[in-house]
Amino acid sequence: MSDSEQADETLAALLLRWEEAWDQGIEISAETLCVANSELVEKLRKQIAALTQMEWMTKPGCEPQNNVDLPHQMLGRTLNGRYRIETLIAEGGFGLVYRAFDPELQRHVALKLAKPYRIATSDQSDQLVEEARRAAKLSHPGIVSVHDVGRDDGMVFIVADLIDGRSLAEVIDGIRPSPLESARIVAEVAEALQFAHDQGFVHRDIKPSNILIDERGRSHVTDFGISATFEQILLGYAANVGTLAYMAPEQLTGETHLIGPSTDIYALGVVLYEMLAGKRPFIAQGPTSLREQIVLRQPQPMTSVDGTISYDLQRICFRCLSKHPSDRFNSLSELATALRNAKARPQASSRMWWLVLPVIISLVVAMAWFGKEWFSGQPILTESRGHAVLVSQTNDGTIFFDGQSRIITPVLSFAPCTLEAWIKTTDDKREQFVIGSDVPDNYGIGIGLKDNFPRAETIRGGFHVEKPIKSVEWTHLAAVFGVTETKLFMNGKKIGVGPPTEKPSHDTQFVIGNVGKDHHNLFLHGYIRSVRISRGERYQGDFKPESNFIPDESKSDVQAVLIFDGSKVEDDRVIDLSGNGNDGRLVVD
Amino acid sequence: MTIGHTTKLQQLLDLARQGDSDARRQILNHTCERLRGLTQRMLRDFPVVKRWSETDDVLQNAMLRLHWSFSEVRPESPRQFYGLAATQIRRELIDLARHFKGPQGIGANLHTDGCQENEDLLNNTVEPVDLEAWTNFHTAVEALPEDQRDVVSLLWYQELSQPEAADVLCISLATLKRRWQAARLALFDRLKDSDFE
Repeated sequence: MSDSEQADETLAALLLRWEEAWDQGIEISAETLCVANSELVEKLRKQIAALTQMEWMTKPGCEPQNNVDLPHQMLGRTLNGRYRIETLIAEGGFGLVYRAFDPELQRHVALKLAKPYRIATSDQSDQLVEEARRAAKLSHPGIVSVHDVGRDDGMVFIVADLIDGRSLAEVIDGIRPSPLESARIVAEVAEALQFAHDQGFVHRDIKPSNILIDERGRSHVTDFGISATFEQILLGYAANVGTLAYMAPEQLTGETHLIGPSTDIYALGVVLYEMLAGKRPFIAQGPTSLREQIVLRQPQPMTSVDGTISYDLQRICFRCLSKHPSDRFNSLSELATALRNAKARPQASSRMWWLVLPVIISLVVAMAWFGKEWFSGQPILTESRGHAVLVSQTNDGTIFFDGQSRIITPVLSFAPCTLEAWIKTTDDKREQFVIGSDVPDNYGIGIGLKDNFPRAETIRGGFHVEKPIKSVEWTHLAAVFGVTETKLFMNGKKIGVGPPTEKPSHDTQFVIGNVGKDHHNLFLHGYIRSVRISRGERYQGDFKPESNFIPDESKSDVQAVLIFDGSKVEDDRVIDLSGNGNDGRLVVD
Repeated sequence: MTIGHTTKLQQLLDLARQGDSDARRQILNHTCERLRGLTQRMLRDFPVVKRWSETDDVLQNAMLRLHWSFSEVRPESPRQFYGLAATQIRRELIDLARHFKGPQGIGANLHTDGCQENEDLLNNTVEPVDLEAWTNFHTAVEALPEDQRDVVSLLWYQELSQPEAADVLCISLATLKRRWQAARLALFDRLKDSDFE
């Protein structure tokens, strides 16, 4: 094979890889695919662009617009000599739903069938039958019951309970239900889905149009059309399908081993957000941007929309929307309980808290996922002076930063010193500030990240080390600002050494999470669970970081000047655990 | 009838060759339905066309010709059937496009309807948005190398799944995917060029 033919072969193979990922909703750049074949980047980029423009050939035919004849052709027909079709109720991507009359049982039913002009393949009819079989196994007052499956003149149809009412999509179209009502509806759906999960089913397409609200206001989950059993998912049979706006990050990143009950919890979180805030958590111009936001970005805080939504409900919603499944509720029944116990409106005692911290806290997590011993506990919920703080059994708590809040300490910057923190970022594409002097646009002492690489900021200088942190994992970041050098540590490993800092000349305090008031460029986007500021050089070489900095009462720590822990926050006060009285103030700039 | 399963199709073809009129009717109905669906797709940019009563008349004539061609040629295998059906469908679609778009055609003085969807498509795809472009597309498919044309016929014209198409062509799924990509790249070049002609 000539070099040119070999290159064409490689190019074709790379293009296939790109398309397989693209079909899963994952966009891989030509540069990434061509890491080992950089000379092919330009050609591959052009071919990707070409295939993208030819994507219309891979989609089912576009149904004629404004052509209402086809769905209405069915009106008045009787299927299998029994079900008389009366009116069209709804039309989805795959099927049509009609109101029909069953004279044998003298009742109205919902009849769903594939669009007559689309049922061209056996796959489609088999899909409909499979849906019916799945749904028929689920008998629960909160799930639309399936009674019959039939075939008539080549068409396959499903007969199900007729729910007199409207879909949730119609209910919330232009009208925002009260927080109490929103919590009740989502709790009902969660309980119904828990039943499905107990039977081994994940719905995977939870969205307002698949939730029906009957005339008494009760919720019913419908359309198990793409639900998959756990077994199918585990075996990798279940393709990543769903409705993009409600799909969980693990569905978009193709991590099928993570798809499970918590995938439905995420979707329900989107529904809850939509009901509370009147809009979805992520709004984008196109699917690519939406995918990116779902996978990488944090939802906007709800307080910018409505100040009357309780902190409890926001916290529950944001926990559902956690990027990693293990950060969400453990089960839908746990979510339902939390919703039923949540305060729908803010109370006076908690008002200050959520005003100060619009998006706080999601969790910390006892995550066997990371396989680290300090993540071994299960999350529990405790109350702290009127506001809930999620802590693990190891007493971890977290504080979320997104540029709108920061902690101001009373400690003036000094050197030599050691700054350290446990952080988990949700954004890996820019400079981020973790701890440092409050001197925006000027030199200070601090630690942060530059494009996900640890960075130490010194007066008149600074350096970063190109060893990226993993944005979904907790990372211990430390910098020792010594007399002769500055040392940078990641997870206890010394990763870089730079020049020493000059002595601080500004009387500035150390701040955490955002360098300064109204500073919209240099802040942490993510979580902090522990911070410690120490005198002198605490570390010289590699060390094993403690899981948190809460002092061991049996040992004295004369170096520590300030210790904060996410679990020790009272209203806007972050308690200093070092015993030096350097409590911080949590403020929204 | 839902055709798409190779074994079932082979059975119908065998029965049709033995003179089973019902099997023959099912095969023809399926092909006609594909022609109807593709015609609707092609004419979606002309909502006004849908109100023209003669649309169905024209479609009926095209279907009649399909019946005739199938009475003259009796495909023995699913591969032969799909190849013949796709070729006939393409030719009928080209004729239909000319009928609507020709100098005396009823769509002669129409521009695309300017609906939002098509404006979006114009920016991001080379999907045909007028009858002339559709004619170019079908003609470009005819001009593809045989192995690529077969794949386009099965996946796009007949809407078979990729495993089904690989089965019909007796090739591996990987080979089918490569031919499918190569065909779309070739069609892109052709359609892109025709934009500037």
